[in-house]
Amino acid sequence: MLKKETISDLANELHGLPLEEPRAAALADHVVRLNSLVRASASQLARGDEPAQFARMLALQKRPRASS
Amino acid sequence: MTGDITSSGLCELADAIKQRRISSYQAVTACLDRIDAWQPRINAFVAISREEALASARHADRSLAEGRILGALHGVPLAHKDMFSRAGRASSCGTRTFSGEIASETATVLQRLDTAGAIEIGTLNMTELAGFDTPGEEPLGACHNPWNTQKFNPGSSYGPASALAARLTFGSLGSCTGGSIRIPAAACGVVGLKPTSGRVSRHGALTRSWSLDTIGPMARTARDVARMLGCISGFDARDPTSSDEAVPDYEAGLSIRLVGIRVAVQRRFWSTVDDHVADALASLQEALAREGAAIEPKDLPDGHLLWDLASVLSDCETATVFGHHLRQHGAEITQPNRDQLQRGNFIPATRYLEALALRGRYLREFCEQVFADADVLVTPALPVSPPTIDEMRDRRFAEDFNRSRVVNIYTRPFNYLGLPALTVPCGFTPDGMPVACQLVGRPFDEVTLLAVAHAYQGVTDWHLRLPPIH
Repeated sequence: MLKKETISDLANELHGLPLEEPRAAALADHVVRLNSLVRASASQLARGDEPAQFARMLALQKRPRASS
Repeated sequence: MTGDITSSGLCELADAIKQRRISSYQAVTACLDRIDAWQPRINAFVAISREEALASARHADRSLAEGRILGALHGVPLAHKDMFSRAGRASSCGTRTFSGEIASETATVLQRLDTAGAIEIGTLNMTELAGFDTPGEEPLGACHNPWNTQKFNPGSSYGPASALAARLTFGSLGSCTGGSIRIPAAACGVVGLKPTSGRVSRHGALTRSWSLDTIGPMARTARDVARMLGCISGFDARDPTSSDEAVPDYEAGLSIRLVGIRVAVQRRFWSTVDDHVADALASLQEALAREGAAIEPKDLPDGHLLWDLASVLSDCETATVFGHHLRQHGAEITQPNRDQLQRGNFIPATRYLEALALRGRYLREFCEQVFADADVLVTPALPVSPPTIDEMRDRRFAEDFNRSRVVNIYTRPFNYLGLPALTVPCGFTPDGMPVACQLVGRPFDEVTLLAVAHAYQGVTDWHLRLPPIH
């Protein structure tokens, strides 16, 4: 579990910008929620689902041309 | 052309200049006069290039007199969000922390508009680093909505939207990571297009999130947006993420008739929607049906999941892009944006890559579910009327408002999916604020969105209304 104290320390270390407690807590809630949501969705990933394929998928999903 | 030049549309003006019914000098002068009247009230401009614009207009008029037409936007005054590089100039990107960084080359989109003959009359206000502005803490001062200067003006391209609504420019370029073209366009009653990912080069534009950022045109009519899109689209060797898909003739595509066009509408909205927005959407659907379109209610995939996945990409990429800047200038960046720029540091790389890998799968599923038997999807653009600035100054109210996602729940999912999406005005609230809908299409099918919007604007007059100056 990501703790607000950890976030505050890391923020200070990365940018020299310490986070006040309520902001660190809000940030912790935000990233914990996103991390668990992606982890749950990732169970649907198949072997061939790779980040670099998105541009190709866009081209594949183009509107089919009307047959003449 | 009769009456006030600034009341005409971009294409109408371009055609009038080409036919020498009006000079470019007259058009630029009319814009500058109007900017003088409106700028103190709405603060849409960051800088006004008065002398340069007038000199360019004289050059455009001389060229025309000598029989040379520079391009489809010959002599037309434009102004853009202040985040596109121009050689020899510094762009603010909505912050004071970039001051003095002079660009050594010009953004591809500006080059292409220059080639088309457009005249840049100034640069337009935007939120800090294209993020979120807290009312009262805008680094370049607040940019107000000309329809009501007491209302909160959402979306990072608020300068272009406000300038277009007040008729200070004939067209603008905006940028969009989660709705920043469509949201301010909707709030200000103008047309805004987020093209398909890769359709428009991003070389020379501020990067915020390379997976989601898109540059797009904003104007008062779909026809005007179509002309601008035709000028800026297409592969660019300087942007390897740009697409080599052929660029169609978007203006020619406007003549498509709506008979046979299948329009999907949401059976269940993704958020609360104000009654007057729902009523305006219903009226729009009726208007499209009268023109021959078939309206088909549909269940959509979960917009909130797509919104969250976009957040993962945006958080991680902005933390990467601005990490160095944050270390150098963190104390000068406003607190909400500083928080936003730090979030991605705490998301593991595996989660980021999973969110990226899911993108193609969810795009395919969305297209199969929505576009298998539909050409266009209609959704709300901004589902509620913007709150007042005073309300947004209350920290708790602002946090609740932002947490509710109502500002970008209908726009951000389509940045994640990379689909083209366009907002078009479709009514007004009882207190006189514009209402808009969003049209979404298959990848690279901007032409259908523009044709539907053009047909709708042909039978309505929302886009012709002018905000009063008090």
